[in-house]
Amino acid sequence: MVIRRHRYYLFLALMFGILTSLTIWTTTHFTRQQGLTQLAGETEDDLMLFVRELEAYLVGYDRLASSIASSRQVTTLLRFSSDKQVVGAANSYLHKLNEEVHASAIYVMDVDGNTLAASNWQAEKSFVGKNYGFRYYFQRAVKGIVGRDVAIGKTSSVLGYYIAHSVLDPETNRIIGVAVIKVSLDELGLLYADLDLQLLVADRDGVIFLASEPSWRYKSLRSLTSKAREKIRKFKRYAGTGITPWSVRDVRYRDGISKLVVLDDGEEYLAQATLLLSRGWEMHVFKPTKEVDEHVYFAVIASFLVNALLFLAVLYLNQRHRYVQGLRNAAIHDFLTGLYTRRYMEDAANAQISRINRGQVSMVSVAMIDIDHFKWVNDEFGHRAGDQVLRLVGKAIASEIRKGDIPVRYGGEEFLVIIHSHNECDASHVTRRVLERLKKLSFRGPIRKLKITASAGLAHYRKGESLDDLLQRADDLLYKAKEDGRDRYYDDECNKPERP
Amino acid sequence: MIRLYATLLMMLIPFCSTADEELVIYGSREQALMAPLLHSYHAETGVTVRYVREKSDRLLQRLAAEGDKSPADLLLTADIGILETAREMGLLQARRSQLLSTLIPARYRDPQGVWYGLSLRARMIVFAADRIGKYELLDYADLASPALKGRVCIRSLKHVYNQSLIAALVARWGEDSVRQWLNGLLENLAGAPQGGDRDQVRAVANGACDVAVVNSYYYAMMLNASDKPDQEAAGRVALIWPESGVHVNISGGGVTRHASDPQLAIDFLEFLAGFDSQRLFAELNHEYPAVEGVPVSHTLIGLGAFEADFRPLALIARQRKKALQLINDAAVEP
Repeated sequence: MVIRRHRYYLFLALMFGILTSLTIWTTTHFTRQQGLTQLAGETEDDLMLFVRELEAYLVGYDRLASSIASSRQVTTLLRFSSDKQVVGAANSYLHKLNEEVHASAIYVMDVDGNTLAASNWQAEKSFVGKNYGFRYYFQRAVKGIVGRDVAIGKTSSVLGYYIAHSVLDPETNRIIGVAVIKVSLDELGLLYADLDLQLLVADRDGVIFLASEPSWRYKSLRSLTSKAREKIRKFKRYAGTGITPWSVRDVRYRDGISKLVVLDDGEEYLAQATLLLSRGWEMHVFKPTKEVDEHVYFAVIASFLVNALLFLAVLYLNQRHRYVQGLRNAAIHDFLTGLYTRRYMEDAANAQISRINRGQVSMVSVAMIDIDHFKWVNDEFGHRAGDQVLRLVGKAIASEIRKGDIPVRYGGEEFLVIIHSHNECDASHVTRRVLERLKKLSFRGPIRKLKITASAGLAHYRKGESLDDLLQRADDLLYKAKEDGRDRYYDDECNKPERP
Repeated sequence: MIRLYATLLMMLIPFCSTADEELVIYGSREQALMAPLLHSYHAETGVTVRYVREKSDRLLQRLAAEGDKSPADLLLTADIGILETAREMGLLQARRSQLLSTLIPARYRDPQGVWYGLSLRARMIVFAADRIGKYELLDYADLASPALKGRVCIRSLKHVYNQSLIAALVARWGEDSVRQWLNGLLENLAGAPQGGDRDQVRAVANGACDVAVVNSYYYAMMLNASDKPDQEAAGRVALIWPESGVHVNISGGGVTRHASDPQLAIDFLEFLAGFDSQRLFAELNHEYPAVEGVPVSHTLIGLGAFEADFRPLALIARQRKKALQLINDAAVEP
């Protein structure tokens, strides 16, 4: 019994383990996927926002560079560069202009790359007189193409974004110089300040020049080709800074545009990237997935708790069912013999009588059986021996009757069998068989030599009578059998003693 | 597999509609690539979408032949050359949209609203890294360099992709410079132009020539191809983004002249310029989204950033006739 119960609890624990594991796996998987999809949407929004902000910040300078290149002061300067008054006017113009637009510097170069005038002409590190002909932006602008480049200033040592436009002679339409605006990129840091994400912007060679993580700057997203290295060196783009590869600890591609990366800080991020085709840049945004993991964590705990509650509920209902079942069994079964109790018998017999009255069943008989001289057994051998006799008699009665018949311990040493039969002979045959069986019973212990007999009264139901009447008749017949010498039964149909 | 699902979804669309509105699209883009977009538009608006797919030149002929009886509301096709031809033939009508004007950069749409670019493809140069020396190749101009004699591959110059490229170069360098450049380019050809863009990549990979001009999405698709030889061929060649500004063309659309519901056609174009549609363009066909800030595919990011030609496509398109004349004048190809 104990082993069976242990197995039962083991089974329940196993089921709980399997179901909980499955639920937790499903919850983890789906909550994470849903969280990542939502995070991907937020990353897309951030990416677009940053690109738009960046463009909005720089587009004004784009236009300004173009208008400076076509301004009268600048064209006059390039045509009459030896005139000190013209140079002074140009310096003053560029200085005033820069006070309004707050660029890093605005300057004008001749076709050889010499700076003729600059907004910072009064400053200690003035650009005036310096030659920047080696710069990429200059080499493009001097060919008539808008020159754009990111580089560390040779004079100022400050990283900036350069926008250069060629200046045309209004009479000949020839390129006579280049007008340049250098924009500080430091202010762009405001874009991502205090946000829980990482961001980087890289140039056309993949070299990072703007990043939320300062250590990423001047690292390369891809391995640089020798041509790219040569160009960086030739244009003195990053002032001799060694460009090292930017690496991540782990990359997993999620779909065509998103990937999960583990960065140097050990955190996992969802990353997306886009290109800024008007500038030749690429921008990457990294959103931490820890918030998704927190959701997953809470979902797993919730799912575990729900599972545990469900398990406890199932356990409670099961225990309650078993308890009620036990009570019910105790109420209808005799503790000693395992046969039905008198109370159950009354319900079952009344139901059978009702069925007879409705014509569903033809007849029912009651055999009331009493062990002969049982008091003597108790007195002689004690109550334990008596209990053994009662237990074995109950077992023998239950084994001799047919399926559907109801064996009952009626009280003391009195037993009763409700026999569902087609005719009187049927019931008589069952009673005879039971009494014969009881005579052959063997016992153990002090009563091993004991042989018992029993008497019985067999009454058949007569239409219209009550259960009490039927039992009374059976009892009368039993009494008669006892009176007539025991070890016999009387059947009320023939009304004569039957000896088994 | 995605294409198969897309085609199945496409087949379901006409049977799912409950709305009265119907939008008829004439398009040259593959049905499988359009299906997810058409399906989500239908799901979002309930409008039934009928997509008729044919080659661009046939679609223009069909629109012209159908005249005011044409059921088409919208023409979706690739290349500025085709869209401008449609405009010149009077097959499209000008329709302004505040949303499209805000989302799509000015250089990728018609100033009057006759057509709008929806996705971008860049004309790039691929080369055999082991056979091309330092600084020999930086720009389109270098394709005419004597150093590349007999080493260049390009599909027919009369193909619309090359016509548009040459029109862009005319806008950039002027007619005379392009004439010289074309002569130099023809001198440099490894053989008579043949095949499509993919064939040029294959030719460089197998050593038939050392340099070729191709569209970015063909190259990106080859890198992702399930066909191993194509994937390997693309992997064997290197690429360069021309430094004087990369010629970027569009795939786009315009409302047809006799559209029964022009506003519905504009509505669909606005849907295509939306975030999700732009992302699908980027994901499915390795094209660059026309709307700035939309994420691009991993493959395209791997190809690196470049500076696109700043000139508006509408202005470049004005040089098409000159470009065609220059090609005809210079052509020795059959």
